[in-house]
Amino acid sequence: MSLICILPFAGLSASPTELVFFRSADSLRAAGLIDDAIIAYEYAAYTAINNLTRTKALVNKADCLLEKDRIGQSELTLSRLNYFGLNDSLQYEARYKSALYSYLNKNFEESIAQFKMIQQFLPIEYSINSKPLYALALNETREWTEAKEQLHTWGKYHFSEDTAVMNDFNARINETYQVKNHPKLKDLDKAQVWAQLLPGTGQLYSGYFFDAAFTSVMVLSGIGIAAYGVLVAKYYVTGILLGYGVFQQFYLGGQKRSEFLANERNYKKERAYNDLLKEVIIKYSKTKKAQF
Amino acid sequence: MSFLRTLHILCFLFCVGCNLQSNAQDTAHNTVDTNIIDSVHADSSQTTFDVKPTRYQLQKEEFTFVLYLISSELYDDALYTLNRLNTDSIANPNMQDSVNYYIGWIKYFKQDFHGAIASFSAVESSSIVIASSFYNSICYIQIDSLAKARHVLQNLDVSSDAKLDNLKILQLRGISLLERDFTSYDSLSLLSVERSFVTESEMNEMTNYADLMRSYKRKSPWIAGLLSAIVPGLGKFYAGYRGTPFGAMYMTIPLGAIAAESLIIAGVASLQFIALGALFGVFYVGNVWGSVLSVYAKEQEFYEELDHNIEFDLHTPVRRAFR
Repeated sequence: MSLICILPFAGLSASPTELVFFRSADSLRAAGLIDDAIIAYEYAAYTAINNLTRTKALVNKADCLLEKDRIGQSELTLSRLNYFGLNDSLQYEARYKSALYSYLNKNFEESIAQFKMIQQFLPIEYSINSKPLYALALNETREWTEAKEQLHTWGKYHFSEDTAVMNDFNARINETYQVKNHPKLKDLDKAQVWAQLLPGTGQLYSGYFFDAAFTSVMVLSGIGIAAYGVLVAKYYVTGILLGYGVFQQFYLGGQKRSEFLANERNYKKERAYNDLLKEVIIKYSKTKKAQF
Repeated sequence: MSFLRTLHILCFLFCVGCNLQSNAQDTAHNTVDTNIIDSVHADSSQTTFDVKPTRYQLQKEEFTFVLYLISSELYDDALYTLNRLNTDSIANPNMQDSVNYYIGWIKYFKQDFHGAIASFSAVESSSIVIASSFYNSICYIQIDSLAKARHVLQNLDVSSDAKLDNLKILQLRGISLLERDFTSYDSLSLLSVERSFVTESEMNEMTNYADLMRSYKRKSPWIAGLLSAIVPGLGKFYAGYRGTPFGAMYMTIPLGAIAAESLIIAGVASLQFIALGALFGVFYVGNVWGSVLSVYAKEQEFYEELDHNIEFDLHTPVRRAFR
């Protein structure tokens, strides 16, 4: 019975030998020997008897990998963590870094999953600090309403002592996240249908005027060549084949181009909006009361 | 800076040595061949000590760590650690061989075949020289040095082990097929081999590949050219292509029609016909020539696919035998 009570907490203290490995890795890192430090942290994780030391070692290894611009491997390293038996602060640090590295690696779904874990398993004092980054990840997946809610919760907690700043923050967030400001994304199917009905209008729908004009001119040229060949020059075969060739190439090509341009337009709009949101979030995150 | 680095590494190695008694590294051991582990752990009676660990013990522990890294698929870390270990003068020749073997193996895994050959070739003695030789031959095959691959295997004496002897014969058969040397393949087929799970399915596959190669008859380039001269694209269809013939038709036939119309309306001496006729002629002759070449291209595709399958079937049993 006593063993059952003790085992869940068995991983909470590090043995002196483990700490020696860990410190050795730390000193390599401090000396700027990052490649050696990466291996040393892995060794510290390998020899760790308790999960606490192992977690710390892997988190530090991930930091070192990030310093060497190996973001993918940083994320992979933190995916090896086992959160069982960790205290709240270490679990928060590990999960937050895991979410951060996933975000930096543009793996937004995984990043959001980690933030949800933070919300589920850690007290509000911890999870509150992660909300600005959580909101940034949500922005990238177009979940702007959820991102706004997360930021309001964060603002209420961090600026509670200064009503003026809180009101300013809330007003700015409300204004930036207004539904009317959300990027109006182009419908790819609609762009293709327009391009089928009237060549050039698919590109026009996405806002590319010159592209639309070029396609229209070329499609009309195809028809013109056929008409000229048949009606004027009396070169029936040449007119029809050449005219049809030009028409078909630009008509079908225009449909594909419309879809591509609608996608490009959507990306640009989203990027512009999310960059604006990022600026606002980072600005308020840097305020004195919001150090996290 | 280098002094600081050495100091840190020594400190780290000392820490590693202090931890010798407390580590049981079963995970890594499960994934490697027993022969290789034996060479590293031959001195297992020395795993416990009361005084400062010896250089060999430190290196042995670091090597065990490398096995853990490999089993965890942390190949970059493993390679870095092995290279670092390799720059030290390694106290035990068996361990030196093991280090070279694993450097070679990781490079082979990362498809750096030239680097792998250099490392496998550095393995000089001990039981892993056999594994190294097999991997070496695979690497030579990958870089199309078939004669060297054959040479490595022929110098390998594994007659005392039926499983490895089978493997050697399989490799030599595969090389013969890659060289299209059916005489050598047939003489190797005459050798009696015992049934072994390591090589059995691949032995059967080799027989299939040999039969396929023997039965393959290249289509006639003359017929392909003639067919394309009659109907553009038909020669490619005859050669075995199913999509491209229509592409050729769509280009050549309309151009022919345009040139013909130009001939009827403007006459044979008109500039218009000369230009369009020349354009059609280029496409027409190009199409006929393309059909002739397509027969050879199809043959090349056939052999490339078989070569790829043979190479794959040579890899698999080696990986199976030396996990």
